[in-house]
Parts: sequence; structure tokens; C-alpha cells
Amino acid sequence: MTKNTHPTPSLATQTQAARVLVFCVDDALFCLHVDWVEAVYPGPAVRLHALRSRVGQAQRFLAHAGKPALVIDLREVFDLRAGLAVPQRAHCLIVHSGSIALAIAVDTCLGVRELDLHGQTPVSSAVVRDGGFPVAHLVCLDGKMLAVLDPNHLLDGAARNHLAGMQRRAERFLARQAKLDALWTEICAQPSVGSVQAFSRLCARNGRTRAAAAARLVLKHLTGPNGDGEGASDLERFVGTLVQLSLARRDGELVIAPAAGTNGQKVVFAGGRIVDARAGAAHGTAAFHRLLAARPSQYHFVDTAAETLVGPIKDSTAALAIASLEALGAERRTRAR
Amino acid sequence: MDQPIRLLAVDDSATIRKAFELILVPAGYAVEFAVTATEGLAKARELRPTLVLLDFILPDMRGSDVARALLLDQRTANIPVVLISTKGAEIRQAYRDIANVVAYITKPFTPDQVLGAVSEVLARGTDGGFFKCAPTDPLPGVAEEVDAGMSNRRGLAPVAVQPPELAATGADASTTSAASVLAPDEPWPDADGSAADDEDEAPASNASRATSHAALERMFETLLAGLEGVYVEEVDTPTGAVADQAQSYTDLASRLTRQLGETLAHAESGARFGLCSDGSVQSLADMLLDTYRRVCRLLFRAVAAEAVDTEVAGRSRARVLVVRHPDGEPIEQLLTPTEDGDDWHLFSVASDFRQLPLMTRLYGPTHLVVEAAQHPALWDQLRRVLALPEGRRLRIVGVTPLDETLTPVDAATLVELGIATVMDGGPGLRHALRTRIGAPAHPAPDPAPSPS
Repeated sequence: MTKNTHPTPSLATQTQAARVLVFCVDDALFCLHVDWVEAVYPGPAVRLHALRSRVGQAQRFLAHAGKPALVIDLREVFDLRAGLAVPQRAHCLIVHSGSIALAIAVDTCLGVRELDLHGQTPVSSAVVRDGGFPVAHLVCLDGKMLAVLDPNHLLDGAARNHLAGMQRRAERFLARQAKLDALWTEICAQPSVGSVQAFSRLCARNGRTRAAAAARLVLKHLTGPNGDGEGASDLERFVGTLVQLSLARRDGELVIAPAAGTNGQKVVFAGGRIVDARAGAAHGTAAFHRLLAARPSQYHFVDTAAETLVGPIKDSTAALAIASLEALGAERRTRAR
Repeated sequence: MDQPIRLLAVDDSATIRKAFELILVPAGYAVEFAVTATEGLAKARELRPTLVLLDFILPDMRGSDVARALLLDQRTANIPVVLISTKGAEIRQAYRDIANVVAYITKPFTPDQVLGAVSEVLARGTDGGFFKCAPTDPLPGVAEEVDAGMSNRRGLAPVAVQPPELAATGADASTTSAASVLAPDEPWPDADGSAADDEDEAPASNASRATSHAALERMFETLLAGLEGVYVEEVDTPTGAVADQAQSYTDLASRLTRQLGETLAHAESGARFGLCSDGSVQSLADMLLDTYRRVCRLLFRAVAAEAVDTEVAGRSRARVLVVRHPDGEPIEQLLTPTEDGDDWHLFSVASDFRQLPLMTRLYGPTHLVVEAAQHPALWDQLRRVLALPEGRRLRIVGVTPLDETLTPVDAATLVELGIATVMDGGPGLRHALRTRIGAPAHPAPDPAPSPS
């Protein structure tokens, strides 16, 4: 990501010879005054979130400087979606359109160029926004048509209202995400019923349904005796056992009965914390994850001296279980697809 | 570095003085303050401010008396005064009667009102006398409104103006209703709709008209320079702002022009007051002035947005998109500008044809000139373009490829894409195209295509 700390340009500097960032969308050349561009995020590196609007459309956004920047595609902005699928773009340019931070999805960034408009009169775009302001001006650059975008007039009133609502939701999403991060640190170190409960609730609101379900499962065993009741799955019972051993601050190994072709599967506890897991050649978190995936049904606990039990796993049992269950859920969903 | 413009604010209210400080200092003005009329007069003589903001009710004197005192003193006679008071009727009277009172602001005011009034007054300047925006010759029915105080304003009244771009390009401004109101050499219409006869005007009036022209030009420059800060929003402040926002310049200009015409007609009928769209009653003189200002400001915005060429002037230049075959040659001649200039905006696309739908939407071409040679990617994108609303309005002109190695596109494709004309790509192409583009908006159907 490249950062730009220049101030927002005035109208006057927009119309003078200026340095512009030239980029490509659908092979068409566009540019923005470099002072407008706050950052350029390479597509693969950026983590996109999505909000679903009331009409079922997904609005993607990314977190830029702790604030949401709503991803827009110029095809959509210019109402050209019909018949043209919006493709995956390689980069996102962060600009502000009024108070709304936009991440303009672009195919390629071609670099910064000097654009001198003294020798040519820009032609205002046919697309105008509220008040009759053109969204862009067209000029010639190296014999090609270049659209100089005006970020402040990129959106019309309806789009602005829509995105303003989305921005508020995205801000709340990021605020919850920040809380989740704090809670996760707490859960990894020393989980409490309250923190897991809050984590589950916030995950559900932020669309992390698998994490929410995993947290609920762990919570169920944190708040009560091991659910050995009818209807409980092997996985649920196994997680319950892990949580109960953790709550009882046991030292030892939970040895899993070898299935065909496997042996030496165990989860090592020290003072109630899972410090290691073994599953064949694997150990540590990967082994623990593999054990959960195997959904063991037969296992027994062996007490061992605590001082001999050290291992690579540092997170709490609850955090480990939640993370693994969430990953398992994601895997199941991928397989189902 | 330029010295900041010095203003003198005379007001006995500390709140108002603080408000002026908060409003004007950030805007770049140097503001001096006086609490009483005596102090104000002394400071005005000493500091010679560019403008005096004067409260109407002062502890020791009335604002109108202070303004008269300023006018009588040779050292301060040229300083314009903006009166400020809650007593709207009285300051309006002072505005009419006292030459150096060039504007007034009624309390409560907004920062925009203060800044707008100050910059407007400063933009007008005072060379050759004070300039108060008001309709010129008294109109029937509003003669009493624009009373004797107008005498020193004759010729300084709303002078026909033209945005710089129109003047520079020599565009025929009279082709649209909006521009006809503001045509460069057209005098402000008399009540009967006829233009004032310049020959009847006294030389002094002509001189003052020239002064006002200069003042207006300065005003344009100032406004254009500070368009964002002062005037842009004001255009949208009248009621119906939402509707304004959704309309084009042409629509707005037409509406304002219609409003201007209606107000004039109303005045001709003998009325002195009119009902505004917001339900308030205003004198027709004020209404005319307000409408005139709004037209001006609309044009400022249009000029700033460079929309004046195509929208306000009503004489839209054709927008030609030339789509060249990557290996083609003949259309190159169109891309070379001629000395006398062409009546079209022209852009070309020679590769990366995927951009065509997007750029067609942005550019809004009226004509598409396409080299009629086989190129699957090009024709595929052209089909997409034609599916757009813009595409349905496009006039497509085919050009015969001169390069013999290129395979001409088949007649079926030409028909499918509605290319009714295929021009020869030879040296006469520019002339032929110019003729073609100059054709009426709804030309008769062309004869059967002549596939190359």
C-alpha cells in the first residue's frame, strides 16, 4: 500500500497542470489528481468485507486507516452493469467523495503523469451529477482518451444516500471487529463466560456465523456440565471434554483410541491449558485441528506430572476450540460447494 | 504577498463584532472594529478601509447618518457601506437614498450572507461611483419601487453579460433563451420588451455602463476564482433546491429565463409586488434582481464546470468518436486539427476496444465513425455500445478502409449495426464528415448502404 499525505486539492489546482494517477478500467484510461488518492491497495493483499443491503446486493468495503472505504466499480457508477459482469479488479484506489471514502476498483495503475490542460480544452463528460456537474472531463493523453474523474461528483444523490447508509453500517462493523479483536486476545489468554458470550454475539452480527456457532458450543460447556446428553454429536462431546478438562485445570494427556491406521493421537494438558497435540506426525495446533476433524468418539485421560508437559500451543483451550471449529466449518462449506 | 483586504465593522454589540471576526478573518479579510459611530468615523478616516460594515442603530448616531457623514468626507467618500440591522424597511430606505450604501444585511444573518455580500460589493468595485445591483430604467408598476435613488444607477443596472467562454468562442448566445437574456451586446430589455436604444442614452450613461461592464468583469473573475466559497451553494438555496439539483443547466437556465419573463410581464401589467414560490411577497424589483443574479450565478457554475458550451449555449458541438482499426490509416486525417478548427469534439479509439461501452457512456458521442474493416473484438464491443441508450441515439458512419490488406466488413454486419452510410476514406473524408455532422438533427433516412 502506498500512502499519500497531501492535502485535498482545491478546485483551482484541479484545473491547472497537475500530476495525475492514471489507471485502467476495462481498458479505458482514467485518472485522478494524485492529491485525491489517499492510498492504493493491491487487490490480493487487501481484505475485503461485505455488507448485504436490503435489496440483497453486497456492498464490499475495506478498512483504510481504521475507517471503511466502500468499494465501487466504475461500471456500476456509470450504470453499465446490465450485460457486463463486474470483474475482479486488481487494485483499489482510496479517494474521498465528500464524506464518503471510496475504494475505486481498477484493473491496473499505469503511474503518475503530468497532465497539462493548457494545450487542450477538456470536454465535459456526458454523465452529469446533481447540479449539472460532470463526473469527469475527457482529454487526450498519448493519443488515447483519458477521463479525468472528479471524485466529488462521481456519485449522484441516490448513490450517495445509499453509500452513506452503507458507510455507517460499515463503521459499526469495523467497531465490532475492533471489539472482537480485543475479545479474542482476552479469550486466547484467559477466557471467561462473558467474553465468549460477547464474542459469539459480535461474530453473529458481523456475519461470522461459524465462529459464532463455535463460540456458542464452547460457551455451552463453559457454563454447565459436559453435555453428554442425547443428540450431542461426537464432536460436541469431544469439545465438551476438552473444556471440562480445562476448567478442572488438569495435567495429563487425553489419549484418543487409535482408529485404523492411526496411533499416538493425544491432547496434552498442563494446568488446564492445552499445550500440545499429536496426530501421527503432526503436532501442535495443526494436530489439534486434525483431531477435531476426525471427531473422536473414544478417548481417555491419563494424569501426568505437570512439569514435563510443555508444548507449542499457547492459546487457551476455548480459543483453540473456537478457531478450529470455525476452520472446520469453513472446510465443510468449501467441500459442500 | 498581497495585503489582506481591510474592512471596518462598526457595531456596538460585542456578539456581532465577534461574529464578524469569526466569519471574515478566516476568509482572509483584515477586520478593524469600532463600537460607536464617532469611533467608526474616525477609524474610517484614518484606516481608509475597503468596505465598512455598519450597524444601523448605534449608541450615538444612526447608521444612515454615519453613511452620509462618510459620503460627505472626501477621505471616506469612496468607501462602500454595507448596512446591517434588523430594521429591514429602514435600511432599505437608506440603501435607496444614500449613494455609498451599496448593500444591506438584515439580522439575523448567516456567515454565507455576510461573506456573499462583502465579496459581491468588493467584486463590483467603486471606480466611477457606487454600484448597486438593481433593475435599470423603472418598469411600469415598479417605478415607485425603484425610485429616484435609481438615478445614479442608471446604466449601472444589470448589464447584459456573457460568460467568458461564450465570448471567447464567439458562440451564438442568442440561440437559447437563457443566453438571449444575457447576450453580450443586448441591452437590458425595457418594460415593453424592446431593447433600450443606445443612441438615446447620454454619454455619461455610456461611460458608466462601460464602468459597470468592467465592474461586472471583475465580479466574474472574483466569482470564478472563489466559486466554491461564496456562490456555488447560493444557486441551490432557493426553494426547489432538490428539483434544481436534478436538472441540467439548460433546464435551470430555461426555468430562470421563464421566471424572468413572467416577472417582467407581471410588471408590465401594473403590479408592484409578486408572490414568490416560497409563499413570500416581494417587490417585483427585488424579484427581477434575484432572478437576474441567479441566472448569472448559474452561468458562473456552468462556465466553471465547462458545461456552458454544450448546455447553456444550446449549440452543442458534435461529439465524434472515431473507432479505428488497429492497422487502419484513413481516419488519421480526422485526428489532425485544422487551422480553422472543427465543429466537433473528437476522440479516437484504436485498440483496447473493451473500453467502448464505458467511454461511450462518459463521452456521449453523437457520431461514431468506424472503419468498416473486419475486427471481431471491435464489432463485438460496438454491439454492446449499440445496446446502450446512448447507442440508440448514435449516428454511425462507416469509412471504407484504404488499406487493401484489411478485410472489409460484410454488408450483413453493417445492416445489423445500423451503419447506413459508408464514406470513402480518401482525402475528402473530413469535408464529407463535416457536411454529415452539420446535417439536421433528424435527417432523412439514408439510401441503402453501399458496402465497400
